[in-house]
Amino acid sequence: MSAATVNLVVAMGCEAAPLLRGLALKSLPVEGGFRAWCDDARETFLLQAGIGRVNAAAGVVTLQALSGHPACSAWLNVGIAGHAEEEVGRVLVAESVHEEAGGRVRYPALPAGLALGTAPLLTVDRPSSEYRPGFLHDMEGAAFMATALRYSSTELVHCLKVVSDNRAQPLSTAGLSKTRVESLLELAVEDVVSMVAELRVPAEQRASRLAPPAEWQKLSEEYACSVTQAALLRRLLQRWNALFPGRELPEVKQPASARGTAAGELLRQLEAGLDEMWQRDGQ
Amino acid sequence: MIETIYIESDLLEHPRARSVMKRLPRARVVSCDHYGEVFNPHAQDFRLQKENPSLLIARKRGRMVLPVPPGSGIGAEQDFYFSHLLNCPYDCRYCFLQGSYNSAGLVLFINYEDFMTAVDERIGELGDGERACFFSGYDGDSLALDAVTGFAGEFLSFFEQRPRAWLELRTRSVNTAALLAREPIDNCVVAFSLSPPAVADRLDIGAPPVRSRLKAMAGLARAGWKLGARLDPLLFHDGWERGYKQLIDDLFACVPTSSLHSLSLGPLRFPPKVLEKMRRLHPTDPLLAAPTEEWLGVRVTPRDIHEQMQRLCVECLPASLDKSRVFCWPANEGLARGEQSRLAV
Repeated sequence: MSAATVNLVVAMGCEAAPLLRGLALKSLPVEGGFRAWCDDARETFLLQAGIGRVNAAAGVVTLQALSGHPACSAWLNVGIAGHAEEEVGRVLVAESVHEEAGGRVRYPALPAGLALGTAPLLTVDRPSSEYRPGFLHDMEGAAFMATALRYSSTELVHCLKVVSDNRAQPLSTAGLSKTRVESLLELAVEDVVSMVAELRVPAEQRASRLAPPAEWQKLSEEYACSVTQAALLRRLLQRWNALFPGRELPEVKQPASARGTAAGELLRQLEAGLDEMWQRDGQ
Repeated sequence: MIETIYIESDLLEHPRARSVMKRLPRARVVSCDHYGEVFNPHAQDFRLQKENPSLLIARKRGRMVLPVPPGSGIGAEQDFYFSHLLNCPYDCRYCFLQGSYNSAGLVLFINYEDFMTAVDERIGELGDGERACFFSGYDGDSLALDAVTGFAGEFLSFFEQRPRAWLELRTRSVNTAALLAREPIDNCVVAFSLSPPAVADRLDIGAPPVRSRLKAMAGLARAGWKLGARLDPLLFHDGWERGYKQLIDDLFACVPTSSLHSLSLGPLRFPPKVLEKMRRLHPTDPLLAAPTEEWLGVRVTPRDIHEQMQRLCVECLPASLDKSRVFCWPANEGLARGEQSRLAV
């Protein structure tokens, strides 16, 4: 399982189809009425969640599990959206995501060098031909973002939308058949593929930084560390590796038999060993 | 380059905001109600943002001017700081700001007049004969963004009329154009943070090289400005003795002692939670991984090491420098514990 994945969530199958081809994804078994796909390396995942906020949120949770709870994941919500003024077929990235129901606003930190245009995105619960000027309108973005941010950070969670209707061509006349949606999404495939590649770089950087030291899992299990002790151990091991790369850990002498005490003794001796080594060799 | 500007929507027509945006014509502008909506959320990655920081234009609310942490003064009876900027475009590895905020976005508070009103209130509270120093580079570099913010020009004109108040501009930048374009004022100290080049080249990421800072100091000295040298923090590294000795020699080769208002020295120090956060952001960095001691509620370089460094630096200072202009952190700790740090002779 990859340490960093890029996870895409769409609402409808007709939104997924062009992306599956563009990203060369293959079907995955999944429960809960969702459909999911991934690439051979299991680094890029796509899930078809269904329409609306609840489906989008549930889809993110399902995809997080399906992708193996990576140390870091980037997330992209792709789909169609209405916009009062922008022309149909324009591809835009959300610069802010507004939830109509709760009033909450979130601000994705846009990627460096983003060539695509941006617009605020308003997530509504019902399709409508009433447009807030300047805004993209969808039915998933706000819930997608709120949920994905539980697993990632604001630089790595984005919404990319293709304008499907506007005041001149409102929903009632836009004729949004499956074929029409699929052809609109075709217009975005190249941008999606680029964005997936661009998001993977910072996701891998973050995953590398968040990765625990190699010895951590084994030691924390061996000494039955509590959650707090495991966190302390992780930081001590990171400091050790930063100061003395490649050097073996100090030998821990006769840990007491009681479990909590043994872990406490491990931490105490590691810290003392680090200080001693630094005083002796590290300066 | 700043690619995104977030701006509080009621400031969109503010003349200073318009001027800032005009100076960054290629940046996209995103409006928000309050900068905290962008700056404060937890799910942010400071390290990733640091590679592409955005600018947030906001109005500072609440307490505009605050007392400085104890022991950071440079000779005035009272010391305050105010922050028109949160965060810094540079990425110094030991900078406490990265452990202080969730976001690496640069917050520019453009209601300069409200800061000035608060400064006047503090001046009004001074006792007879008292002076106050106002530090402007506590939460960000005073001059690094000056070409965009116009901060120095506006505040120099303000402080020029208030002789009981000093303004300290603290910087690692060489953006001195606004200063050189006008006559110097008596109550401003342009203070440069300095470290030996061998360590600054590695740790002061994105900041001008030390030799450029020294050159900028020389130019300001020739123009008649009062200067500060901030060897704070003193950074422990291989070859620190040679490095600091050479730095001090280079400093005084560029800056006559008569131009030096103050020189300050202090240990690398962090509030404990800030240090923990910085270690998480830089888990492989040996400088942050090194052992520290608790001193006056903060984590510092082990004191015996710091005192060696401080002692050497003081010994290297030229005899012509009046030692009353040398300040050590904390204010009541000097070369040896219990000694006065203000090395008056």
